[in-house]
Amino acid sequence: MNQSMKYRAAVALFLLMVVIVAGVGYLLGQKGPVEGFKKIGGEFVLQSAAGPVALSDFRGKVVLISFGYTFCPDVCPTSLAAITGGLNQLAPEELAQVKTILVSVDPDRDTPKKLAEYVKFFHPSMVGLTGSHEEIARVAKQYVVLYRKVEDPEAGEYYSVDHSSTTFVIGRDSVVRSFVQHGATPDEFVSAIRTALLD
Amino acid sequence: MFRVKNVLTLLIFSATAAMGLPAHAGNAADEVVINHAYVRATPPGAQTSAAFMVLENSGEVDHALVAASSGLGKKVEFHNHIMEEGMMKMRQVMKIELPAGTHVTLEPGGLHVMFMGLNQRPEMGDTVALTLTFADGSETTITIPVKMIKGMKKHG
Repeated sequence: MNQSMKYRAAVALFLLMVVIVAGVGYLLGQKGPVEGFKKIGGEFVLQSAAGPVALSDFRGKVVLISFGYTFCPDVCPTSLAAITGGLNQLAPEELAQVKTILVSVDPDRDTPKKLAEYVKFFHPSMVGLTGSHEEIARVAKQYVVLYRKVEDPEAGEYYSVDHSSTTFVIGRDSVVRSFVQHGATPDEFVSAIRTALLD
Repeated sequence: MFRVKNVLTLLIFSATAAMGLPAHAGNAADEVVINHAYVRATPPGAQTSAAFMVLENSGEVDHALVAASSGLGKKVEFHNHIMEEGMMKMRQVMKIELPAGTHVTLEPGGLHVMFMGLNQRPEMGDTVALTLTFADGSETTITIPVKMIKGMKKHG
């Protein structure tokens, strides 16, 4: 590679970086959903203790969707507690516009009734949803959520389920606005919720 | 003369023993100090709970936790979390190493004592007896409070 080629390669690399930085800046700065997010998520209907619930039932509200299971002793309660901490910081008029959904990735053990009792412990505005294996798998695929029952013959009825621990923040138009990762503080949920409420 | 020799032998033996660490090591139950231990309050319908704590090995010899038991759950195990393939994976840990002079923290998102098949639901204000067994066979039983999940304020 001679000097001139090296120079041209450096310029090309620089221009590429400018385009990437500008692109990311544009995506972060724009209002409404990031274009790629429109492909993630979407409508679903699952079962609650009070009957079928569709995501579109909450159109006009900001919806938090988390995937988990009641047998989970640590990760799920930690996430739900952080969401609860966030919800408790909202003003009543803000809270009235927010709904939280826990979708079970363990339909064999999590009945709608069990889920209802479980989520109520965290916040009265939460709803727990489950369905058939096929229905859960379809929703997980829509949201690019991975889950897998741990095959351990010794675990018996005490098996655990590996799962993605991301919480989805859905805008009033039912389109994904942002993601909140496991380990987030209540303040991070407040900020994600308020951003979505303002959209 | 014979007695003096005996005393001398004893003295030399004691001094040698004191120099070699393992010879005067205490057992794990005496040397491991447990602080900030609590059991997590469990939502209704849940079949599991977890205990968290800080274990400090104040001794000069490595110890390890190898088992736990409690009336709270039918099965009590140590578990850890690993983030892998985009999933949070919870796995049983057979042993928690407690190197000499260090502390190990069992905390949300990491290592924890897991109670499965709850005999009763741990609620705020309750206490739970937990017996920990160390690799050297010594045991310690601690009575620890049930606390609300961190980050979650009580509903106003």
